Amino acid sequence: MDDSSSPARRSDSQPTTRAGPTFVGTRGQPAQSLADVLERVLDKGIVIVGDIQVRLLDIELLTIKVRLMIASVERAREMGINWWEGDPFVSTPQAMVDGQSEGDTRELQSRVEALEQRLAEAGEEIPAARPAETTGERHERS
Amino acid sequence: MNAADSVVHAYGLVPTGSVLTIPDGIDGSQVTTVTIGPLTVLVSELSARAYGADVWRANAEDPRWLEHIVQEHHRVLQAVVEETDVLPLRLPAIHDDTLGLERAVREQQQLLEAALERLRGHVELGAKAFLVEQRPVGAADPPPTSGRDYLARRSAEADDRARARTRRQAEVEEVHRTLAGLSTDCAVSRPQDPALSGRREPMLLNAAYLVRRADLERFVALAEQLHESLAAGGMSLEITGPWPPYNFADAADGSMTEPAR
Repeated sequence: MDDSSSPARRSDSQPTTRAGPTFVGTRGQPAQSLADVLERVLDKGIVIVGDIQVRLLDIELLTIKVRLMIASVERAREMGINWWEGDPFVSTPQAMVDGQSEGDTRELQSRVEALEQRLAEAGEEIPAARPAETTGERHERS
Repeated sequence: MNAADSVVHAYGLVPTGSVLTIPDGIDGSQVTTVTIGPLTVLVSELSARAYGADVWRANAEDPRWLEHIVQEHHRVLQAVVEETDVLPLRLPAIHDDTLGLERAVREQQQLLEAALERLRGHVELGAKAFLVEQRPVGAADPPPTSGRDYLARRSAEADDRARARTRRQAEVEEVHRTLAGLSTDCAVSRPQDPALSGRREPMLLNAAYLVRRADLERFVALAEQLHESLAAGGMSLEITGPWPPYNFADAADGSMTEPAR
């Protein structure tokens, strides 16, 4: 992210927090990567239950779609992206949060394959947006 | 803009009376304020043709469309958090008009006030740990002399790797606990999908910390030290931020400190 804030007018009790990310460790990485921003903005933050309701794509499905948009599965493998397969001792990212196991990885792999199959059958080109369709959720105006 | 042709997009809430430089809104729109008592909502009036509910529904699965509005929404919040406390709103955050928005805020005023109060004087910092270097086991040993020897080696190597993994996990957990110790709150998420993050190294930690602005420098200094100690084990620690506190915006029941689904 580039520094978008000009010098602040601020109340004296509120220190200006320097623009730009603080970075420890590997340099040369984007300061606020797309992944960092997406997982925050789409998945976190508070919701004011208001007039308009839209059910957004589950973020896991979104990341899968992004992956398909970037490369075919084969191309991804060529690029070394193969988190869904391979020697669990070496290549599977370790999820310390929920103790993701080999079983989870296989399950995720078959989900991905099923999704790819559906997309191929639908003859869908990524990322063309589908025509507007209702989600079946009609929100009553109060 | 004609009322029917527009929607109100809300970015987040700041304490009424906050002094800040108003940034540009989505696609160059103006950011204005809607004040309800101690809460002030930052909003933009956008064309319904571009960002109305039907458009959202049509594009809810289009990564490129989402990416654009996500980045724009975030850009505004990032500018704001660098100057004042903000309670970020999750997308889509659209309302028919300011009256509807006001009504919704009043209905949840206590909850929103409490949420903003929890964030006062804080920002969010992100921490990610990676495995950047896996030491090969048994690389210097002389080659095996028999089939049985080979199998015994493989078994021993597998044990070594499992032990190394356990050790790394313990170190990463200790790093997380240490950083959490300097934070008001913390939230752990799943490691990011490598295809999305563009990182091939295994991600061992993906966490967010709610840190007092006054503690920022100390937190970063601590993270530097922790990075050095992790580096000895072939790992790295990356800190990002300050962020709008997305991970800590939600209800007070602690639901936000659970891992993301």
